[in-house]
Amino acid sequence: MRHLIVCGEAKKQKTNPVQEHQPPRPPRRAGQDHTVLRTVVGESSVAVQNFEIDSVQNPGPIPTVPVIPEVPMMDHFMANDMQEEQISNADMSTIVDDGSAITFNRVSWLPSGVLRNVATSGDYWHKFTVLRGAGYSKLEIMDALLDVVQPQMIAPVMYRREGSSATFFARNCLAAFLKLTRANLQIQVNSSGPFGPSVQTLDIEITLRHTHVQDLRLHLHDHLVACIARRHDKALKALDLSAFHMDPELSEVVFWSLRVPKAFVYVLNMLKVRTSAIRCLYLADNEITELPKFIILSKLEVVDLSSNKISNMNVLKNFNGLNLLEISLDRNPVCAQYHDELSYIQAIKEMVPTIKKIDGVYLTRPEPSLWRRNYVPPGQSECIALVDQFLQHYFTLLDGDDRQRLRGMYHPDALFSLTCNYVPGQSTSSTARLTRYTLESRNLLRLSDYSKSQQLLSQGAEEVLSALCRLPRTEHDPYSFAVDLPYYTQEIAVIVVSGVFREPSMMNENLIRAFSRTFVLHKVASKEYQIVNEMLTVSNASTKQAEESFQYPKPKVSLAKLSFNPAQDLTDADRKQMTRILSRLTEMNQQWAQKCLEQSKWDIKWALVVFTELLKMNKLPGEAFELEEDKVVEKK
Amino acid sequence: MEQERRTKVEQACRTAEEFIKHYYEGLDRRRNVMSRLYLDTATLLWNGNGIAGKEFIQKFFENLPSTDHIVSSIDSQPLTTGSTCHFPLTIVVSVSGFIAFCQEQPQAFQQQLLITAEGDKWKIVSDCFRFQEP
Repeated sequence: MRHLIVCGEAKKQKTNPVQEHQPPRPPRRAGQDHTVLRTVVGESSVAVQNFEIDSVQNPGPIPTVPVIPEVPMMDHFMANDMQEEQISNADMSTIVDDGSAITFNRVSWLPSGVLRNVATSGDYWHKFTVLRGAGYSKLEIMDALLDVVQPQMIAPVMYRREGSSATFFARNCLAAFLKLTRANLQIQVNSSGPFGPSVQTLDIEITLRHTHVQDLRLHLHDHLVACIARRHDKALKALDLSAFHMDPELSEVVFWSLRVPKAFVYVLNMLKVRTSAIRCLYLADNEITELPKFIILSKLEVVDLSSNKISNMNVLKNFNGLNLLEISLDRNPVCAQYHDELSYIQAIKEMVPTIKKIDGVYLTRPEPSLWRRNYVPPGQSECIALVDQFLQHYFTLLDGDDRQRLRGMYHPDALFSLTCNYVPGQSTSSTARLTRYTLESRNLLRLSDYSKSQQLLSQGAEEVLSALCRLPRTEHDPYSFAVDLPYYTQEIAVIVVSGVFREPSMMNENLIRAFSRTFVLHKVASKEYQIVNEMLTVSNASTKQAEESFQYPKPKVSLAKLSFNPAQDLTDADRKQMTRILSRLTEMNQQWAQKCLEQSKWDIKWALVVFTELLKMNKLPGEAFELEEDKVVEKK
Repeated sequence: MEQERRTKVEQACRTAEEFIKHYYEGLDRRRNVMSRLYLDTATLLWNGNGIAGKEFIQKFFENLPSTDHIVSSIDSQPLTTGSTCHFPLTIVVSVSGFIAFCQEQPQAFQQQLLITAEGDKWKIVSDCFRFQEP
């Protein structure tokens, strides 16, 4: 029956020894030196002290890492002789022989000062026994332990089952140890049993200074180095640290979980020697809640943090200073905080502005991503009418059979050129010849010298009109137009129109072309513009464009607003006269002539144009030409 | 007069080709200094969305996913309007080609730039970009 030296909140109880088994005594060597081995050299971090290389003769690789601020307990890393200290309030006679091992559990008690001294002995492993722990998986026990101890550092080694208990060793874990004692040396294990998930409270018994490091040499640092080297794909520049604590080879030696911040930092610092070779870092399934700063991984571009326990977007700040392109954050509690994709993406972009791919999906479109049909500069709504008018006029005449009629729209010094392109993957094949355009096509990338470029540029209204007349007849689909007004001032307007047109052809095939036409207009009078520059790009329409075009019949006769001569006030007599004139010209009866004029807003020139069109399309019924002179309808 | 015109045309060709080269190289490789190519008051139209001012244009480009452009054709003309023109030396450039975002399928686009000489550097007055089909 051993009395147990106690710590923590439990009061001293002489009546309740709960010890279930005797701790084995560590063998003592003659002349054993109890001073703490300090293997830290020069600027090596204090962190290295946690995992000493076991002997000075084999120092092993010592990474030079920046000093990491340590818990103050590391200052107690003392060379004091602890073993012989008299422990006052307990029954010392019950302590094993040389007093090097001290076992206690939650009901025993130890003055805290003594406790600290004992627990900080760096050259001893302490043994932890989880009573009744054998029935749970290692992961369940470890998780429970880390839940209590978080965020303090502990690296359990030599996990095994002994009878009904689970045991492991750890050292240099004073802070974790103290946390554990404040929790009454109890852990809450989450497990899923046959009746569903449950939580069990298990007691832990700790034997301080159980085994001397010389008797249990583990070379933890070397194991970590080897593990990382195994998981580093040099060709892909990828380091796979997912489920790190479950690495088959590493976990046989130590349970090193990246959810413990110091453990993570330690591993990160080990990467300092290979930072240029790490472009991708996979960290899934590590139960991570916090992140260290990743700045030393200067070439890091891809990070996988999926399936972790991150609950705050702020942790992503630790990627500051890096050019991170891809991140995966799915299956983290933080995702549930965002109810829609957009705010989720924005939150991530705020923390990591360089990001281009989130959760495997490229951010393909910027915010103003909707395709808008037309653009007019804000505050310039009066130009809408002018542009509308211009376009209607222009395209009507362009589609007409005499393009010379466009003359009035061009400045005497106007310039015109066209470019045509073949776009791969387009609708028709044999009809896809753009020959008549190719002949005139002006593409600076294809010209061997600039003299040709002069030839292909039509200079002056005369040349422009001839060029236009050379091109095939067209019929534009105004419903396909997208109109942009990138520049508009009192003097100059730049209009860009894109859409489709078709070439009416004898062979009854639908030659549908896609075009983009840029106009630079110069204002010559208060409401009149003339074209000074015009550039046309033509290619074949894509299958989709072709299919969707010409769905709506073009309004034939509502193009009346084109006249540059604002409608004068016409008297009835004027109108009658116009009707008569039109009727004579067209051989329509007066009734129809009147109809025509009404629809053309009494612009006789325009009425003639409309009439010609309708005639061509055979849209005029025979009755329009029947003589019914006595049937002129009185209209106001 | 005739010769003057010819020279203007030739200059327009030369300038356009060079400028376009810089422009797309910047968009594809050095996005962060795109705003240098624009006037302070420049406007950018992107598929019908308007962005005014150099700073906002720069922001827009920074939010755009990374791109790869292939230029199929370039055409350019000098602006020959009279003295009322604010920018005496201005060129209109029309470009068509393909743009691919982050290794997606390339899309055909057309772009028109109005560029002018500010001091000894050519800068964009207005930039109009559209996919060939929405």
